[in-house]
Amino acid sequence: MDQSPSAVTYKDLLLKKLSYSVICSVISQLALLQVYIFFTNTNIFHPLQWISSTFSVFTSISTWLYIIPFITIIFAQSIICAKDYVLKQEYCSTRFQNFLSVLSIRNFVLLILNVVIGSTLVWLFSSLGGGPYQSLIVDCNMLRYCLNEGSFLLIISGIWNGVYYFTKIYVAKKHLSFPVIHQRKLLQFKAQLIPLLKESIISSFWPTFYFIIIYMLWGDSFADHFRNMFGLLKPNDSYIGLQAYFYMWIFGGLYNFNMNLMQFFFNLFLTEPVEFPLQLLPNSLCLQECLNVSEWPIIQNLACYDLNNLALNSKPRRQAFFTLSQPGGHPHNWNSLVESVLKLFKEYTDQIEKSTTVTENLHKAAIPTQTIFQQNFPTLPNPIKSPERYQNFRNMSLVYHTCMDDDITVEVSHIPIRWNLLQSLIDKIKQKVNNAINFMKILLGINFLFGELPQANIQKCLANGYIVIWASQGISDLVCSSLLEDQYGIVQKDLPAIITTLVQLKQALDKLNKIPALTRKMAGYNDFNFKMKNAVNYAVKRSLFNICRTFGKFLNDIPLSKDTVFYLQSLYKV
Amino acid sequence: MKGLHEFEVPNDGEICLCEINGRVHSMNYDYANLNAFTDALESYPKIHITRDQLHLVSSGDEGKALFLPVDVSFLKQLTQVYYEQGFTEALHTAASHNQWLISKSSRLILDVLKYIKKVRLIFNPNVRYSGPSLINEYAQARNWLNSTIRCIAWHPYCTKVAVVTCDDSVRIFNSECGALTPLLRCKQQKHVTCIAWRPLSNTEIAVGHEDGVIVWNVDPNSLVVRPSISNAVVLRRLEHRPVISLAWSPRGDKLVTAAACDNTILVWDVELDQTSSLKRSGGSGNILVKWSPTGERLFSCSNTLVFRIWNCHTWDCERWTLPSMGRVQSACWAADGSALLFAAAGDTVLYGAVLDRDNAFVFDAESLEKQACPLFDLTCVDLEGIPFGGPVRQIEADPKGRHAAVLFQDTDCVAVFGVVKRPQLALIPSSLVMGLAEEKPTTISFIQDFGAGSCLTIGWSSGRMQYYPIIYSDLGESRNNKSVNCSSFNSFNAKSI
Repeated sequence: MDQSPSAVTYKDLLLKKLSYSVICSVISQLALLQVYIFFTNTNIFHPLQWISSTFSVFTSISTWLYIIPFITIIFAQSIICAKDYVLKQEYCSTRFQNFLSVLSIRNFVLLILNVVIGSTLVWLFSSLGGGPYQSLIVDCNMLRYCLNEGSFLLIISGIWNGVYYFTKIYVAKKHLSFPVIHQRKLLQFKAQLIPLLKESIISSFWPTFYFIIIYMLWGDSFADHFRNMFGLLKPNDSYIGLQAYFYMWIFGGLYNFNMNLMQFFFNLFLTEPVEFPLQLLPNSLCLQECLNVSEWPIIQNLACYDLNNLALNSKPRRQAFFTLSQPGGHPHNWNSLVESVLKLFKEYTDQIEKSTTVTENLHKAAIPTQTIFQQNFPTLPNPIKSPERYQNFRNMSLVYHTCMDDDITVEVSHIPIRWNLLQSLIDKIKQKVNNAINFMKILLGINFLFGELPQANIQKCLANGYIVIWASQGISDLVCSSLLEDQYGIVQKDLPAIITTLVQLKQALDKLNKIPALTRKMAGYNDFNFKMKNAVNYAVKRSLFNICRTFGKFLNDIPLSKDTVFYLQSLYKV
Repeated sequence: MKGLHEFEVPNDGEICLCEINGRVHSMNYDYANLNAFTDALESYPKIHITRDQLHLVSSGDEGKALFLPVDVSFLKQLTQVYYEQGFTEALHTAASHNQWLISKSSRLILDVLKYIKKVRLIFNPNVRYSGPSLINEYAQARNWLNSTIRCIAWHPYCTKVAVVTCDDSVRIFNSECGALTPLLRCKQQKHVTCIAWRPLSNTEIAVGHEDGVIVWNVDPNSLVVRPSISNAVVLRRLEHRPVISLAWSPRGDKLVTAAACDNTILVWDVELDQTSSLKRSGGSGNILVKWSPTGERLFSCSNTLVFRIWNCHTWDCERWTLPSMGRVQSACWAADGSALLFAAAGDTVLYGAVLDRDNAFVFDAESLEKQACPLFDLTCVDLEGIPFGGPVRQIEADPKGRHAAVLFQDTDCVAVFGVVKRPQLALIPSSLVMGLAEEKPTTISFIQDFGAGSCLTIGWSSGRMQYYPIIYSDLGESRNNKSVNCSSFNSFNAKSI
């Protein structure tokens, strides 16, 4: 919250945040290295010597010759990664698009960087930390060099870690998560450090295990190739001890920890709340505008979060919305805020409605329809659809429709029977061909690759869930505090619009409950979409509830449509 | 300092029923009828939970006492123990016999298990939670382990009350008589310690229990008497147990929980199942969290001398310490969240701290050392043969912070005070509420939305819940203007539709 509001553009603000996080991740690498050296030089009986040796290793020129290239790579990596957190994520509607988006040049560069970091990290830590795996080459007998197989194993495992981390974790998890409460950064760091380390060490266990299996199968041929390439000899005892595997696990954990730490710093700095200026000024950021910059999601998130905070905590900042401009006496600040918040809600509502109707249609199409009537009367205006599973029920509506058939046959009988037969024949052939094509699509996996993923749109909506949660809570708190603080009655004129938009949003959100992929049965307990759906739903509900509660007595003076009133009643009912 | 002798004791054989316009009314308990004095409580449910209403957990051992032990072969006995009591018990049985190979190996396994447990304890001290006796020590309810009513929570806006009983279930009573009383109960919900209704919602209630928190969604329109766990959100963290206290933010978006064996306080985003932790040094557990009614501050106390008051905007905290050994047993916010009343465990003094320095003439407010001052001496006194006072178990204040009630650890009456904020924080003795013969109070709670004044509810050991209204008849007018309750909204609907 200590960010000054003087930041002029989005880019300044973002650059500041990103540069802090990049610097912190680079410094954290140095600190980690220092701690590692400290532990490997353990000498309990001579603590002074212990400290001095740590210090001397860390300050020697050779160490820095090792460190500088490593730091450069880390720097490059974090700068490339930074883009991921800031730019709008593209949602791919088919599996094929998903696949293509992974195969980009940027990702390729990142993969290479990950691999390089993985191997250099192992190389750096093992050579600075001392021990049996300090160097890749050992002097075996009489000025002839042999390959140190333990060290070779470790470096190859570093490469493996890089590949594994990139493919398994980095590609999947790039979204920022906002903490529930914002404490000081140091406290957040302290609270997260140990769990992060624990998690990294544990999560590196399985990749290490996989790697051991791979190395057991093909390790010898790797080592042979390498030896041939550099003309090295095979040492007499090429036995790799358990110690090497243990080191491997620890280095894997350290690598994961490094990468997680980098991610943590991005999260920490980017989600830090910013106080946006509230006055509309040319060439400057302001809250009202930032609420709608969907091309910079992080700015939009921060703006909504700021709205939420100011509505809750800060009376002087709330007052900026309840004042009139001088000269002129217009509530410009409030007007622009309402405009952008309502626009935000409307867009979101539209988005949800679009995606829910698409899936509803899909469902309807998926239900096999009875075609007897259609075959007999191809020109029937409204083909009667009755799901097959209800056929055995005594269906009153079906009886009603069969009664209607008499009239329809009269209409249809004008068409010559021969034409009719031909038409039905063509239709039959068409259907057969369609079926065959569909079957081929399924068989060849074309549907699988190019078919529209049903939840892609909804996922896109739900990924923006925080925005709606904070904006709705913020605007409802502002509206509620206006009852006491707004002396000009500025908010009153927009009350119907705000309530109606929120109700529409809530109604659209209710439709999400009907989507099978978003129910608990399908989603299980750990699904982000399922949780976010509930979070948005309940937040909007609470916001409406808050307005109802505060204005309860005056609500009948607000012009609202009957539907809206009815909905509010159902929401508020005890 | 004022003392308990300032209280007026009702005449012999009479009990206090209510307070109307500052006058305490009492009646002989054979004829006690609250409706003779006021009709404000007519629509409130009458609650008396008798033993036969409880669904006590059966351990399956009841039948055992009926049978005589017989000699069975060692292996048969072992299999029986394994089926009935589990693996560890079977190991213990095996170790206690003299079958050389089996006994020795089982002793070895037991030793290994013991050491594994010790190592786990070193890495993660929170697993040392021993069982409900710890909850019994820290909980707000008196004699938590054996009392029928463990906790009472009133809904913030509606006439709805949730009552926790000793069978680990939560019953929800509505205003309408004959309405369903939903029973919240599930396998995971063991040893319920605290409950709280979610603000800005009609249906949600958080239930804190031994292993975590369950946030139930109780649909009032549903005819289901026992909602299933699929309507609930289950929140748990391995090292955060037993949850002993919880509090919602006034806006209902955050939930704070304290656990007796975990020194971090967790702040939850319930729907997303995310947490942030509030952690400061001092103590190995926390026992109470209370959010101030305005939402600006959060009180938390650890199981040592330290308690803290958090600023809910910046999440920085003020650290307070008790002067002598002990810990804070109970606390409550009074006078609209600007003052805190608290009492230490085993101590008989009620302290008060004013946190809101809104006096404009004190320029160096920061330099003044913040100190809590002793407000009331609760040393046990004997008035007309009835002992009352002593160490405090629970303090509650009404939502407006004008009245406070104190439940004692050992004596059987509840003391009700008036709270005065100006010129300085003070407590005015108001009345002593006693139960029928042999009844002990177990928990107290104020109704959150009581228009006519404020109303204390007391859960007695007999399973009876008593209302003790404090009514101001001149409030009638302002109540209609100020409080926006559910009924006024209904009238709006009736008009507009």
